[in-house]
Amino acid sequence: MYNVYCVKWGDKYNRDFVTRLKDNVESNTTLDIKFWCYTDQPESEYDIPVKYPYLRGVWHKLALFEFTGPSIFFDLDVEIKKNIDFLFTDFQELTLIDSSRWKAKRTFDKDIFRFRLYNDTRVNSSFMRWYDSRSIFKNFLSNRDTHLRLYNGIDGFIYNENVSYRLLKDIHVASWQQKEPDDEAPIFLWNQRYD
Amino acid sequence: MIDFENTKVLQELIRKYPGRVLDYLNSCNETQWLSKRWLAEKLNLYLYKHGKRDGSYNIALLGGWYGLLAHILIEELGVEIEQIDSFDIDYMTKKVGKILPLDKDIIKFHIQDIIEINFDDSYDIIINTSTEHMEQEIVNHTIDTAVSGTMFVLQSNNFFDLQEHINCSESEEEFNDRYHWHFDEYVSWTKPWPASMGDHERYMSFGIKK
Repeated sequence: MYNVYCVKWGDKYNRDFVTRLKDNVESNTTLDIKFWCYTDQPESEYDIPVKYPYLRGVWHKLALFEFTGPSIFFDLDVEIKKNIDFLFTDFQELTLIDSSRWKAKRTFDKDIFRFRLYNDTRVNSSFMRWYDSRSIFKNFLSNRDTHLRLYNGIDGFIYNENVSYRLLKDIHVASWQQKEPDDEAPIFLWNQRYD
Repeated sequence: MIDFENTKVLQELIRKYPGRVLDYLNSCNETQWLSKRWLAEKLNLYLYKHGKRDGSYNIALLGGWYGLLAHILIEELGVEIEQIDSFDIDYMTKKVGKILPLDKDIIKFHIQDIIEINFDDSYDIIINTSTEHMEQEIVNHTIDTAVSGTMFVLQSNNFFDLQEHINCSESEEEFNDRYHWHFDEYVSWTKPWPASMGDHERYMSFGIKK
């Protein structure tokens, strides 16, 4: 069995996003999966209460690494358009999304100085896949205060703190931030456009 | 205009550690200067009343960041300072500190988790201006492991909005409830911070460990 997680913290996204994602995932895989929602407001039988209540927002995504076994995470604003069985493989190393395709012109090519100054990132954690990444969260907690100060979110932390990861193949992911997003990609990232 | 010495510092910081430039500047912002100078001003008066009659001071700074408070103490404290040990868990504070125009003969950076330190009789004064960033048991540990007679300086605030602030105090009274019973000659203050700097209150207390 595979575990699929999401995180709902605070009121940025309402409960509908959780149920929509759950339906979305379950209807687009033929595999044996268990859906979990890691949340500060548990109300369903598949909810797991947050373990570190002093953390805020996206930082709870890192706490998911305390769960081991074949695991997949989706942000609440991810839309799954097609079958995603192909995602449930290669769990050995942490897998993330390469965000440089839609950030290239904006950040990397034009302003590398700004990129380094703001500890920017070329990875996106709207999708994550892992088996045992406990050391990443342990590393974060060991110097939590500094990491919270330096990085806007976990993407910056992972990219700049020498975390080992691999990237999901480009053909599987599209984002509204691309000029011409691929309609055939099974995973579509809204990247907070719902705000 | 910034002077040539600081220009050199910024150039070297940008070249070597660009990801730390903004954090360094933040460590020297108006709020940081105000709270540290407030500390130095009150500590001068307290030392006049309760300090040593002679001899120099060994001071520990807990969560010393890039060394602003150490610098201010050397500049503004009217006592002789033998050494200031600045402890921080962030290994980059030492690297960045080496670049900064600080008195390296007096200020020593240490990368260490203070929960691992037995302070014993190593210091005349232990200063912790970051209690709101630390779990309460860590702050208590620093007090518990110091010998009787050690002077403590503690700061906190009610600025709950910052995500790094995991251990704020609701009020000066609540802040004092955590600490006053550890100390003799305990005194405390509240300083309101304007809206332009986050609209909150800062609390500070001094005491001599019983």
